[in-house]
Amino acid sequence: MDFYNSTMPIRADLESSHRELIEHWSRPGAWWTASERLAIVMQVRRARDINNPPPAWVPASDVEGLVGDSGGLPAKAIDTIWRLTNHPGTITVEWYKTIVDDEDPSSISPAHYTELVGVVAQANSLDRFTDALSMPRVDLPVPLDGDPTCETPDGTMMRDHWVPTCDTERAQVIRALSAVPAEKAMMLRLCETQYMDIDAMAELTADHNSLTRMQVELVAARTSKLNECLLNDRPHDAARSERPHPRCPGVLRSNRRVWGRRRRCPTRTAALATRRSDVGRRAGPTRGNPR
Amino acid sequence: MWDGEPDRLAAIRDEVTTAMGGDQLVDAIAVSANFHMMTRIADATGTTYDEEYLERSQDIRSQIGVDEFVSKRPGISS
Repeated sequence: MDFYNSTMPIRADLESSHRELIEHWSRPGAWWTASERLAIVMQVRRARDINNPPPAWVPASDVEGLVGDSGGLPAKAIDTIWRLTNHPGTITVEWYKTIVDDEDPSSISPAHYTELVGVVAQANSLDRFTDALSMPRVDLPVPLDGDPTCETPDGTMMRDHWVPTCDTERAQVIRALSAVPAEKAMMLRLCETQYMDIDAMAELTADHNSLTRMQVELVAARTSKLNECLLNDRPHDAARSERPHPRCPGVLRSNRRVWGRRRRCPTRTAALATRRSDVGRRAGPTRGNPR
Repeated sequence: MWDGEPDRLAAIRDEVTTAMGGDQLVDAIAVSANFHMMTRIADATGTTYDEEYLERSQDIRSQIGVDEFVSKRPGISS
């Protein structure tokens, strides 16, 4: 049975990778359960579909009635989903620090954040594909039981990204999710069918499926421009340390915030609200909705 | 690119299909979908330019104005 019930000429490998993506979401991740991962996808859809989404500097979880059923996701995760879905070009390191702030009991760990980013990005990709073809969105599966794997690759530590990474090979954007290997693998799988095999990128004159390389890059550049995406022009110089994580012996990391702490129950406080307000002022308004 | 504008989206699809073909339409949408993913990963993780491209792209980045994007954000220690 076809995954997509459509008359559009969707390539078999493309369809297959999208089927794999749905199965990927239905399994426990490294740091989120399968139920939570599917709740993330549902929240992406809610953020996408809302009329007049709140501006970037307003946390979605602060708006009464906006997010609906959170599916058990903490407020910081909800806020990340909405901002990354609707205002990706406005994300700053200051905002990121508020999401993973170890002094804030409502924060999530960088590990949870990194996996969350992977799932949110994948969900945006899949739904924008079906939406652009005016096809129904893919139904979400029943989540599989099981705990997160808490997989922590050897050598995970702070390097050139805001988030910890373990990979030192290939382009920086490929390394970004390397601390959550399953999300990196899924990203590469989608790249392979939607864009091109990463190993083929150096061949600048080769066609890819029905498009020339120039056509492919025109679409890629235009989409990146609409999302106001520009990579950082310099790496951060966060202090690197080889002290082991107290709860993940053998894992190189710079401080306790970097890796592996299970998130705590989110508790919104007046102090947090004040901090959020301050963050909003620092971040400033978005210049146009990138959608 | 035209969320909330179904008529315009349908018209563009028809135009691309007529001019290029259905395969090209689907493949172009797939590429766009992929970069809705990659841009979000880059934006949310503080991904930096690869050093080898940074100097080479300086002129073109300045010319097309992308250096003014909010996402040209400083590193974590700034």
